Amino acid sequence: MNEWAGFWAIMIVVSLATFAVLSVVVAVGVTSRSCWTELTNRRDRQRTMCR
Amino acid sequence: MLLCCWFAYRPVSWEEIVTAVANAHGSAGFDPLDASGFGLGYVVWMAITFGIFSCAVWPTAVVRVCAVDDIKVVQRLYTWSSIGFMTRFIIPQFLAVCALAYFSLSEPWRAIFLTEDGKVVDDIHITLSALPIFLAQILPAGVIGLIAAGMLAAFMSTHDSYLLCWASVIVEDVIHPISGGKWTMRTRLLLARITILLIGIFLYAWSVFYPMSQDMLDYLAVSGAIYFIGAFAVLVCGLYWRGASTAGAYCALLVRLLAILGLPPVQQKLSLTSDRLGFELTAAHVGLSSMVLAVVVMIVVSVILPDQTAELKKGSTGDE
Repeated sequence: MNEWAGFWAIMIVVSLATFAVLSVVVAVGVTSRSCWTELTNRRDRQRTMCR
Repeated sequence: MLLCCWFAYRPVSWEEIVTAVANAHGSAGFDPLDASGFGLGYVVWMAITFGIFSCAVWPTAVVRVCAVDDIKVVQRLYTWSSIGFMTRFIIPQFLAVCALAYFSLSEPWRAIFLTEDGKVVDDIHITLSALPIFLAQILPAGVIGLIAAGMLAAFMSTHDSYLLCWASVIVEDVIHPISGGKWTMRTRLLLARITILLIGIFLYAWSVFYPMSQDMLDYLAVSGAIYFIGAFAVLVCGLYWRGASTAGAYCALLVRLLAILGLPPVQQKLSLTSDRLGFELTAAHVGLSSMVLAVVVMIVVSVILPDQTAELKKGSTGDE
């Protein structure tokens, strides 16, 4: 049981660390100028296509 | 979510969590393959449902695949997103074991959620309310509002994607082709909007009137299985087997309806009780057997009733 408890402790720490890193990466990524420009361009292209 | 995990872990220690899980579930609380807990069948069912099926036929995952350039990017996408998927399962489980430890230590709550020997009470309505009550107890004012707003945002984001996805599927892949495929974009958009409204009304009515009587994850797996069991058989046989026929596909899609036998109210209506069957019919039993049956039916019916065009092609090749 102790081995399993250790295994789950590692899994929880890895999951929380992953979640923290992903949150920072996504937050920095979507607020970056290049991403914002790309999203705006895509939206404009889609609007043109819809017309 | 991270803040929520920190507040959840604050009132309990790791040792208390381990002790609470050991008291409530024994070794099955740690080992997923332990037969007294989930067991091998359930693990296989979950691996297939949330592993293979969700990658292959789950609309939101398939849309991601459709948006990338080539197979290598798809492989990389799934490899990296698997860590995120693991996180999505581990964090709620972590919150749940914190709740278990918290309730086992707090006397007023212990009597509600646990029996005298430390086991979890066998009442789905009480156990389903455990996590919301736990969060209401541990989160301070302000943070609880932030968490609720985050959950509401995630809920709305999920539902608007699904409503749009299924309304588009119903209009573009079912109604429009059946009606001859001559409608204008404007008519199809109007129809998609009406479909979204109808799905919304159905969701509301279902959530109000359906008596929830099993674990939420099992319910999610069974309701998903009604769609993906047939879809998976049709997709795999249609892509990788030349002999697959339309009749076989229709029959496989009908077999998927057997998945509703995984819902306890349906089992009760049909008297599929453990006393009558001699064993407890679980969602995993129903899901796995329906999945195998859908593939078998697809193959057998395709062999017996092949498509006429395939027959003609075979005939013309034979003549040459």
